[in-house]
Amino acid sequence: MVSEKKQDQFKTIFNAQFTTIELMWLSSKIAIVSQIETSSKFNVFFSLVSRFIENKTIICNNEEIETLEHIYPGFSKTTWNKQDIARALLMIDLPISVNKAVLTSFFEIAEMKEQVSLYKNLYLLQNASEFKSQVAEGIRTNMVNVFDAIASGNPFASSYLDDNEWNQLILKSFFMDRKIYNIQNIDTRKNENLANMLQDYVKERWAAGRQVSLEIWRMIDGYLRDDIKVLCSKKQFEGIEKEVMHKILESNNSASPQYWNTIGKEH
Amino acid sequence: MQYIDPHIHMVSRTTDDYQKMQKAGVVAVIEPAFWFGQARTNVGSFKDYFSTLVGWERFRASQFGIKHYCTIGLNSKEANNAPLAEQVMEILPEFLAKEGVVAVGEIGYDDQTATEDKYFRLQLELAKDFDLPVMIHTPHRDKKNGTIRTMDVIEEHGISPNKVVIDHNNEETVKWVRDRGYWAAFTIYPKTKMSKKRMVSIVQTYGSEKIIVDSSADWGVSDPLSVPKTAALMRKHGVAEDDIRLTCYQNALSIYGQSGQFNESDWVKETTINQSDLHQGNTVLRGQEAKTISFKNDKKA
Repeated sequence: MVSEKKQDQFKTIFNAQFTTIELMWLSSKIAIVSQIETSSKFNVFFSLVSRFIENKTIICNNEEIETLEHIYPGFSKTTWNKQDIARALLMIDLPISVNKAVLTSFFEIAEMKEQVSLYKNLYLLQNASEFKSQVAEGIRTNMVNVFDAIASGNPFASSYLDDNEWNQLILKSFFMDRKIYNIQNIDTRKNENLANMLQDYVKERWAAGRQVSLEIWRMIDGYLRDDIKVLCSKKQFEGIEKEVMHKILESNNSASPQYWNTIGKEH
Repeated sequence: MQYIDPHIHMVSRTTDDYQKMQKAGVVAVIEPAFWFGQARTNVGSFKDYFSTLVGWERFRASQFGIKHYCTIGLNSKEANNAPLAEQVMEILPEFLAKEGVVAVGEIGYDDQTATEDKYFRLQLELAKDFDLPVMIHTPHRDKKNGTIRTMDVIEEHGISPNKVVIDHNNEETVKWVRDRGYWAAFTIYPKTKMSKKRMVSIVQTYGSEKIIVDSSADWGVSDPLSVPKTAALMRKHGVAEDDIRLTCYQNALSIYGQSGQFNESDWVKETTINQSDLHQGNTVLRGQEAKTISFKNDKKA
């Protein structure tokens, strides 16, 4: 959830990124969607952003990034383009009394990039928590870029999803071969149930002669079961996997988040 | 050589097709909204179909290094269900506004009924509102009159023939279509419509100006490799490379590029797809070996 004050800070930072012509177009459309009677125009305007706003990655200075991280923890972990931001501004100014209905129905017809923008921007709404089930639904997607929009550098999941939904996000990340180190608050939401499901998954994969992501151990660390320890003792590990398994099996202290981030980035 | 198939219904095709098309040099496809084979009975079916064209199918194509675009419209066959057509008309603008929608289409006549005529005209007006080109489906039955009537109506609505592709032409219709300044597309089917060999003769007779080759491959007997195969046959028969490039690539880019939604830069830059980055599970790879495919796209088409 983002307060009105923070929303204003967000707008102020980005107004400078648009050209005069873009800003004129955007302001005129925001004026229309911000009225309840004409808010249904949102769908077409949200789509037309692709024609009227340049598809260019935004660049912010350090001070701006600091503010943005305060508003939207994880903001700097992914790239944002001007179209995402323009779409955020349209979403923010939809009246709260209708934004749930308008956005929920728009999700059903959104194209790939629109879905990415929608999921990235939901956290910026004052009533973000009302979109919890939409995000839980989004996790079921098989479009990788849409999934990444929910998982990567997005504070929504850790803020609002319950444990079952969160666990599905993490499980699905591994099934889709995604990295997890960029998931916001990845360590604080660790839980035993998740670790158990992942250990079952490790057993299934090993039985089939297949490998698992090294990052999986980040979620298991602290909950390692005896049956997995026995299996590990019978397996030969090499290279970085050997190092990671040693940390998991021998170390009394959990590996640091920095260690795991490096594993995620480099392997 | 790079090719564009500007008319193909990929929702009906397999991943084998995508792989073969990519290997044969197809860099981009346009999927027109059309009839499903089975008549739809409610507007939700149209909504989900259109959403598939701009969503899942777009993603599916991207996994194989092919850029997927589409046209949106109410086809003439289903336009005959007037109560349903009314509801479909209401949702069309929301889809026409989307990125990667390069035309209103495929629209036109099937039986040439009054109801078809009504929704054809309404959609021509939508094309004007959204400043989009139009892709025309010409009827199988009473083709000659249907084609001429289609062009009359387009002109009545003040749309420039230069923004319109008339598809499914044959040796007869091509004359009238070209004389009136429209883009003339040819559907190369293994058994019906136009054959590869006849297509070569058409290019030999008329040249390459405003002539477009497509496969219209769908759920029936059809060939998703029609465009590269026809190009190969043209080459074998001594058709100039420039004419092959125009009919199998550039002309489609020129006409649909008028939408602002169809840009060569989308696929000209190197496209690298790491399939393991994409997805597994209930989807395309299903436990096969992931591999990195690097498509170094050659600028010269």
